[in-house]
Amino acid sequence: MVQKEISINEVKLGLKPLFPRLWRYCLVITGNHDSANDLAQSACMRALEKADLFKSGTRIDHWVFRIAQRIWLNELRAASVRRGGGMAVLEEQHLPDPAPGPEENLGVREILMQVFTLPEAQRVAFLLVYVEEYSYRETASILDIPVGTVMSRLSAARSKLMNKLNPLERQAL
Amino acid sequence: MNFSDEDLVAFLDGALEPEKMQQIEIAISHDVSLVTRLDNLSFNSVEMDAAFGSLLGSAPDVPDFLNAEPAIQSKNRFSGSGAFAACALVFLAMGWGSHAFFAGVGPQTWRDYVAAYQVLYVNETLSPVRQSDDQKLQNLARVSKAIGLQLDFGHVTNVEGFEFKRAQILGFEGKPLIQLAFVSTAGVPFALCIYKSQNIGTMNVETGLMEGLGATSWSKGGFEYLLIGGAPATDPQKQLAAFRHFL
Repeated sequence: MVQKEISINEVKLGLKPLFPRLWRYCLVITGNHDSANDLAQSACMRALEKADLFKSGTRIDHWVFRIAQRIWLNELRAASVRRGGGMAVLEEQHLPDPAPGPEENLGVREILMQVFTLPEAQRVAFLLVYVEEYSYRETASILDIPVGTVMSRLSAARSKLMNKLNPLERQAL
Repeated sequence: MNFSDEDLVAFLDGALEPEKMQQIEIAISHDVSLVTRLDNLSFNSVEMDAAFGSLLGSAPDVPDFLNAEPAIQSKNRFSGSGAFAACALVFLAMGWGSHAFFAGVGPQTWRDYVAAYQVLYVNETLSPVRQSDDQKLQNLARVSKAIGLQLDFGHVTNVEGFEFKRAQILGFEGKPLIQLAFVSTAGVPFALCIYKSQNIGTMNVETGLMEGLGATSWSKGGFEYLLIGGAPATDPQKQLAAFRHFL
């Protein structure tokens, strides 16, 4: 019992600073703010419930991302689709507000809009490898898929994305 | 030889097996179309990081149930540890003050969160991290841009007694927080974290204890710094001398 409470405290300590990244991951998975809020909260609650399974000293982000992925696939995704939100792309009003430096912010918004138009499986793999900087193997572990599938998702994502973004980048240069 | 897009993407990511990496490198030298294909699959990682970094500021507050008081204070790290007790006594004997940002009471600051995160690091956490000089250079360029402070490659990678492992962009209250991860020669993980300060004044170097880890904090040029890791240093001046370029 005491050991479980220690584990809960350790997981709590790890989750607090991680929460913004976890929420961003959930946003990329779900494609909309409300579902991201639900999923991030559910993942945190599930992590606390299962805290005694967390191996002290290992990466909590990896562990909680896996939890979020499973909750989404097994529990929340279908409900979100039924509500009409699961497949929605990120709406423009939810993008970061433009600040001084309009050209740069236009680029940021454009990049996000394009990434969020990718199929869910591709944009999630894209985030994990290129933003969270997980290796292919770690990404495969989080998503519970073979490394080869990670490679094909990344390849498809980059092909689609670069067709749209590269002209913008060249223009910027 | 034909290469699939999967191969080329893995090549760009440095994730291909060495034999195939070499085949592509050789092919690049005489196959213009291959170069074009690689170019078409490339993207500006700095812009991508900036784009996704901006989303962190939209995250809602940490759920209340994560802020609830812990059921047990983390005394397990402190009690029964002769080594820790000895270090604490050394601290007191040397007269180092317990300053406000180390006190562990009041509002949680970015340093508290960093300390809570750093205490989860074990010697094995960073040991698999291997970056080439090129990757380190790119890594530093990326984090430099994110926080708006140019980090010098030589200063980061030539810290005496510490091996630079990687740089990460974290975030606190919607603002970027940079973590430079190091491993001491004894294999102990350390982090030098930098956060854009609200104040432009300079804060003196202060040394203390956070989450049972040795911690030193200062500010300079509109940025706050926290060096944290390991047991409290027996010779903090020597440790700080190694990081003198950041002081």
